[in-house]
Amino acid sequence: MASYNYSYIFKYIIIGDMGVGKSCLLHQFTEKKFLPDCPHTIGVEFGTRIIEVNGQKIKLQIWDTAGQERFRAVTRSYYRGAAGALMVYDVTRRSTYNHLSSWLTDARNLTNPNTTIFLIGNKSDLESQRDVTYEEAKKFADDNGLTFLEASAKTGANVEESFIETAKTIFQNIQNGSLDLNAAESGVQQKTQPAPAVDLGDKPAANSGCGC
Amino acid sequence: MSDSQPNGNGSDETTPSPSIVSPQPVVADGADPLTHAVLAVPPPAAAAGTTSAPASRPISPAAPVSNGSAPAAAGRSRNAEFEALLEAPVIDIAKLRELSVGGIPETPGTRSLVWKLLLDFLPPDRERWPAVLAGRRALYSNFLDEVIVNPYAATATAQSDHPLNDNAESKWGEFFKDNEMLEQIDKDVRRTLTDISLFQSISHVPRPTSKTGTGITMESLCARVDRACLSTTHSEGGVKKKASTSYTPQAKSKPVALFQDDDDDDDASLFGGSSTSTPTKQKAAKTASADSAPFKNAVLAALIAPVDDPKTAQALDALDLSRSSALSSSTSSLSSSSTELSKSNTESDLMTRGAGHQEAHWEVVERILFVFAKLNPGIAYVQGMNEILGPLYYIFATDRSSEWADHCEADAFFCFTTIMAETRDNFIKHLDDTVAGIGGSMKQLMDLTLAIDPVLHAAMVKKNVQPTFFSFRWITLLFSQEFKLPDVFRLWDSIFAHKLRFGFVLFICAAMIVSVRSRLLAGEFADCIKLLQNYPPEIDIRTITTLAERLAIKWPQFRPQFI
Repeated sequence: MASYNYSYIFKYIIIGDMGVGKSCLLHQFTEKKFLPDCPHTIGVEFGTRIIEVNGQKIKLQIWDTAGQERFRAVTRSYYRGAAGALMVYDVTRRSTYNHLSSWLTDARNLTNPNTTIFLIGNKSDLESQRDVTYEEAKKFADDNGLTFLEASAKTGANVEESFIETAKTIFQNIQNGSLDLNAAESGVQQKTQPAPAVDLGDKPAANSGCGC
Repeated sequence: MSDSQPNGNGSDETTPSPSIVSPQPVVADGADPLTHAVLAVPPPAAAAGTTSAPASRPISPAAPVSNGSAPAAAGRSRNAEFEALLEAPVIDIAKLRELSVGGIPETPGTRSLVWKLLLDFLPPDRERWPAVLAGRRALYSNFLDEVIVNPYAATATAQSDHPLNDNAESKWGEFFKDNEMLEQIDKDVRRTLTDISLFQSISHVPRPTSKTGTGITMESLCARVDRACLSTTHSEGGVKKKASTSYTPQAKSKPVALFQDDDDDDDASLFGGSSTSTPTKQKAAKTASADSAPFKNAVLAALIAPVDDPKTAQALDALDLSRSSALSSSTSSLSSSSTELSKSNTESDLMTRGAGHQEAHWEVVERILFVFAKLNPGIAYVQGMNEILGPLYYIFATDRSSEWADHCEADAFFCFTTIMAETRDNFIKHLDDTVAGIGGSMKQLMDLTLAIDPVLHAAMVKKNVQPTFFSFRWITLLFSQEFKLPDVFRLWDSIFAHKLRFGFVLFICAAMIVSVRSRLLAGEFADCIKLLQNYPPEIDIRTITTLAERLAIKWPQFRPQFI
């Protein structure tokens, strides 16, 4: 029972061009598996996982959005109230990197100022096809105040780290007071402890369906 | 409001009263009291002539019967009814619709034929079929020439035009733009219904030949994408990339990106280098006519020359090789027979690809989507269209009669066009927030849910379970990602045949929501979203269609205005 308890819910969104592997990252994080035949996302998909940061159990509610331009109007509504935004490009496709500034503009405009934005260069396993260097992306991240990691949804490299580092930053922001939990769209919900009976309907993330 | 409401709502929060639940065995989790209350209501409105369900429909609402377990005798007589209807010189379409709402028999070829009738591809008068079919198929063939062959021929021959011509009238400009769209389609078709081996296997129908030209075989669109994208594919990573559809072949850079500024230019060799870079427009322009780095010339050569240039040909061979591995690896897991099939396919693929005659089914799907997109520039291509075309194409391509199967491409194109003509508002972004668009449909769905079940509606609102979170995909893809393929077919039988046609979709959505009522009431936000995004497979599709039919009768005010 106790293992179902968590102190916080953090809301995340995953954004970026179509085909960069957003759904695969989510699936790798929630199911610890690579899904090679992941269909494109229409609208949004949803996944959860409970993680631990500084001894606190945190439930991540992750929205994986469709990348195609047609769905932008729909997916924009998911930015609101996100505590963390994972912005993904594909290291083997420069065009997906070139579009980051447009994704970043959306993320900055549509989330609250304290939203933690994390940049992920996915498909780092495809070294031979690399089209964007680490250094170049790192500079972009530094210039824009983003945390950055290259990751691979396929091998799992840095996937955990990306999601958990984001949570750590959010948690820090809560601790130091820069993220106001009472604000309407902080993207964080604090659960009263211990988890009350209302939470009985909640299942552990491991048992729930794939959000991919 | 509803006569069933008091029953359902009175006891819904607690253990369902046994007196409400039907004593008959019901599907595991569909056993929500309200579902059965709704189902159990005798349909008095039906008498008012608002239903299209025939009185003889062998559906027992309280005890949904799965497709396979219907009494054999009833099944036979039903099949006989279909047979008799379809054999008539002039087919009674109204009667056919009535019958089909309850599901089209699984007898070979029946669904393929009935869908063509329901989607107005075939006229009811059988005598007219040969002429209509010949006309439409010839028309499709013209479309292919118009959309694929001719623009390409124009780019290849026009002296005054060249790839770097930035004049708006340049055929090359359009060609590059098309390639961008093709790249999107290409990514998606490779992951269409990947659990079905058909799409990865080779079509026995040869790639169409151009009619207007000198009988030349049409170019392969995916080869065009590959050529335009200049992937480095010979490496291990490249093969892997092809093999896994989520890491579908990517452009190193889109054709257009070739002309974007890039400060990271280096001298990587085109097909063998560890990295590829994109020349700037200026650089490319400079190198277009003059001698320059082999890389840049090769870029142009690959774009211009089909397969003549040995370097390009070499690269294309590498592509083919990697695609073939993708073919065999993606199909090998299915079954031993399909592994053999894919092996032989792979060989024949390798042998014939050069000749350009054979192709995988997904390549056919790709061509249909491209032709549709070019002929309908207002919608062009939107992700998800492949999910609608996929099941349709599957039914037509697997028709046991080769007379039909051989023409599945053209036939599927027209039927797909009909479906899109009736549902395209869902795909058009600027209609999103209008009554006609997807936003309007989703609002309607919540209003209907409120009418059917205020308690459930209130719970969903309270938990912030918004329709965009789940029904966006339900509605735009016509449930093709929500159910197993046979159930999708069954559901589409009802939709295509229904009087409300795609207006029936709304009632199916509502039926799906109501069918998981107790879990929606009990679950937290996350549970509800996961439940609706991963619809429980144990709920029988017949339960849903039957309930949807009842809801459509009961709530006529939610029928689409335009019907």
